[in-house]
Amino acid sequence: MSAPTLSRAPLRMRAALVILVAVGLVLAVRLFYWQIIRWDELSHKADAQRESGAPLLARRGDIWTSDRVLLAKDIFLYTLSIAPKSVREPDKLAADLAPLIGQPRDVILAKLKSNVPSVVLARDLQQSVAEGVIDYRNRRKLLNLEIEPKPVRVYPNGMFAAPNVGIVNVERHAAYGVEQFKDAELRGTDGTIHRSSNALNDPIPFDLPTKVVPATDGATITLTINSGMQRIVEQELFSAIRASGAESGSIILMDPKTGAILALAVWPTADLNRFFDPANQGRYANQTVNSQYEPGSVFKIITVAAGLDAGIITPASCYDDHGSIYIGGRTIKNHDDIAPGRVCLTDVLRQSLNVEAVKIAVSLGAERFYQYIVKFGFGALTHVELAGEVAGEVKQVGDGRWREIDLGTNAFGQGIATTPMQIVAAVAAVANQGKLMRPYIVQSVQPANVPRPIETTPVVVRQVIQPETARTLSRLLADAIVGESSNKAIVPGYGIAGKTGTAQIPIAGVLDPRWTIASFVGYLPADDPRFVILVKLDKPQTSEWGSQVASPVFAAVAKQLVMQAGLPPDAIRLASK
Amino acid sequence: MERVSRLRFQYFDFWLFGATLLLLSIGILMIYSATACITGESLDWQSAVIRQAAYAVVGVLAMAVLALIDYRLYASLRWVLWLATIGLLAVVSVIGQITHGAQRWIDLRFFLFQPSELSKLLLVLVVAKYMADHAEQMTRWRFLATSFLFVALPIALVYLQPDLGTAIVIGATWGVMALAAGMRLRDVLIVLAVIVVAAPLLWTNLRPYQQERILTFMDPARDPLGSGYNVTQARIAIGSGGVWGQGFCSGTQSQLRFLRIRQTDFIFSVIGEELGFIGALFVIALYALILFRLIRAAMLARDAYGKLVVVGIVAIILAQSYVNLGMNLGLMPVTGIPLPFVSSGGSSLISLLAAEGVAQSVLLHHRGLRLEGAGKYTGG
Repeated sequence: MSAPTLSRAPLRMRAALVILVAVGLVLAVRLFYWQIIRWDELSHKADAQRESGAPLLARRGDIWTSDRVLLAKDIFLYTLSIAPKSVREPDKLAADLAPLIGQPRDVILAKLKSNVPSVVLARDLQQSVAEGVIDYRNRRKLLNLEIEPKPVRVYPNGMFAAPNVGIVNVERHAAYGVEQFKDAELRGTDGTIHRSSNALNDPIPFDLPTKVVPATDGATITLTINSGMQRIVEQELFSAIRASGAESGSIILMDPKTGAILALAVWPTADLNRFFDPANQGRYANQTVNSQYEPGSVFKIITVAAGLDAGIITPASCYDDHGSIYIGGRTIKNHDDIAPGRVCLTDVLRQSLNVEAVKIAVSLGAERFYQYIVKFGFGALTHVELAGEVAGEVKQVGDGRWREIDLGTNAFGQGIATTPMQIVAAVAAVANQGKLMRPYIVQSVQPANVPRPIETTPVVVRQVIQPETARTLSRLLADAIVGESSNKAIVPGYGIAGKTGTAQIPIAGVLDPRWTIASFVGYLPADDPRFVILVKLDKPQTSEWGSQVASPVFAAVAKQLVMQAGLPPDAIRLASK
Repeated sequence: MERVSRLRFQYFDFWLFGATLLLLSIGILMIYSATACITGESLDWQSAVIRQAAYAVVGVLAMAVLALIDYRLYASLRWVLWLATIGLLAVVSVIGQITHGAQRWIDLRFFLFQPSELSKLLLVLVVAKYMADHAEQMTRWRFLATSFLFVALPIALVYLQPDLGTAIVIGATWGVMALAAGMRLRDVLIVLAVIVVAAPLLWTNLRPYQQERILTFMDPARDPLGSGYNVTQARIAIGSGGVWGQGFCSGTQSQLRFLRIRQTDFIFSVIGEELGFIGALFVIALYALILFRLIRAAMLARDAYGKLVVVGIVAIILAQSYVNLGMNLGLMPVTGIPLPFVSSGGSSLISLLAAEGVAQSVLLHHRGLRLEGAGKYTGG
């Protein structure tokens, strides 16, 4: 018998071949679709799920004084962690690490045996300790031991120059001072490292390209602050605060020719490393830029400058002072209700006569008077590189809040809000031939990737008064002090120009009768000024008068300053010319 | 016994054998890549690579032995084979090893034996006999239905394991054999129509994870971290291979374990990623070559039984490779069907190599049959 045959088989076998080819083509086309057409998109997806970006933290730039005293610096502390399940010999690792990181072996071992994805073995390890661990890791090829650096801000000099520096907190957030103002430059740019990890987030066991975008460290900043002068100013401020019982205060020392701030001290202040201490809350603000005050009689310098410059008055101008003047529906009197009678311009400054200041302002007229005030920089930011500067407040004719009485009170520095920085800058303009300089505290910025530091060039804001007016006023201010032998601002051997201020403090619209802000602003040598100094003491208890509490501080600072700077007494200096 | 002695070695299909050896080698290499190359896993008897190599050796030996044995022996043993199949599947459902929620394996200490893999070949040998005996009657429903009865019980047992994929492969194999045996195309359409009509009923009977797989197939983005995870990762793996691949042991998807079950169900994705379009296309071409040589063998077979046996083997390999490749390429839902000759797993590998041995046996014995038989010789 023949084997059974299949009548339809041959045809269907050929059909099967066709189907086979068709199936193969379908698969090939599909393969082509995924691997060729969508290759780019899918391989990016593969990269994306494999790679994780970790930040490479930039080092924040240092802050130095102009004479190379380090004020702020980043150091790195290290965190040591490991994935417990990746540890092959926990006992040995614990025994090896114990002496390196100074922890008991059992403590480490317990962490290594914990059932968590990752465990921190030690935090805040110093660089030297971390280097020991890194060395050990490399020797033993324990790539699963992760040592992560963390930058931390330190202030080696603690409280020194604190209000200028500012702080950076644990969250790396900058506040106050140059730290905040120059944050963008100081902080640098964090980089990233794209590491590959597998689906279980283990470290990768074979070489894949690791993409690194390096971090750019922050710029190093050098301040105009001179550490020697800063020390003088701080010591004198703190002892003045103690001696006068003042609540707060500040001293600014500026080079009038450039606007560079050579020293700046503020009380209260605190150690920059201890910003987390609740007791230090509110002790980092810098009152020379952060808060405004009514300057009082020091402002007469401005009023007189305006009068002289406009030609309303001359150094020889004399007046009959009856002790009061009626303006804007109110009567303004001199301090202590004095009525000195016949006085000339030097006496006006020496005795700080409010009535005559008002007369000058009135003669100028509101429009011109306020033009000068604005030209001197009041009511506007000085743009000094200190964070949180306020502009103060100058009421203007027609702004809806100005009243005629303001012309009177503004003439002797009441009813006008200024900052100490504005006062120093304005008086420095008088000392500097009438040229207003922009105050600055950053001398140079050295970015990480630039060969030379970027130096700050002094900026002339504007010519406020004529040079001749400025020289005349300097002489008047100097004469006013010299003519009074008991003046506590006198620095023997040096001609000084300056003015006291005893300002009343406005509280809710009226002036507080109990407290004053006592200040002195002056410069020396009067004929060729090198230093402008503002001393400001808030609510002194021993005396309310600037001439009593602020003037001696000016003198004390100036005496040490001339020694520090090697500035010869006027007689010697002028003789050697 | 005289007929057995007449086998001709010149009819041994070296193309078939060579393509199979190539796939075996690729499989072993890719299993090595998927499991051992970067983990530093030691290559001992526990490792997937060594076991696969051992299975390959055993399988090739089985193939050689079965090539020598006259395939017609199985026709006479059909009842024994059928009962053995039922027995194995029944045993597995009683004492089987439960893994991943399915009861498919018998623990033989050194080897987890999966009877459903072997049952595919055994059923082909059994059903082919009935169809060959009633070749001219397969146009009739009664005989068609009777032939289906041989596979109905095994399908039910496999489905209950549950192993829907294998159940479908067995059903599909029966269909292809019936077609080769003369089933009318009209009847095929009727059967398909019945399946379509019954589909909603089947759907409600599917287990939740099976429904999930089908829904995921329709839309892998449905749950990319859950049921769609493997499909999504396979797609990324294959896609990131590009033209030339990322290189042996260098596929990031595979080596970094984003791709799961990579040495078994998704080994083709490893191939796609590491060997690229060229390598993957080569693998597909090898399947085409193997199937082409098997269809040729079926055409050469002089008796209906031999022809139907080889057709059944073609159906098994075609169905499995298409289902697996289709799953890897997003053309089919996820099923646990291994890639023939390549995926890690002894039962499948040895059963398939044994099946090829039977196909070679058909080739080796077909001339002998012609010399003594009265059938027309139309070519070879």
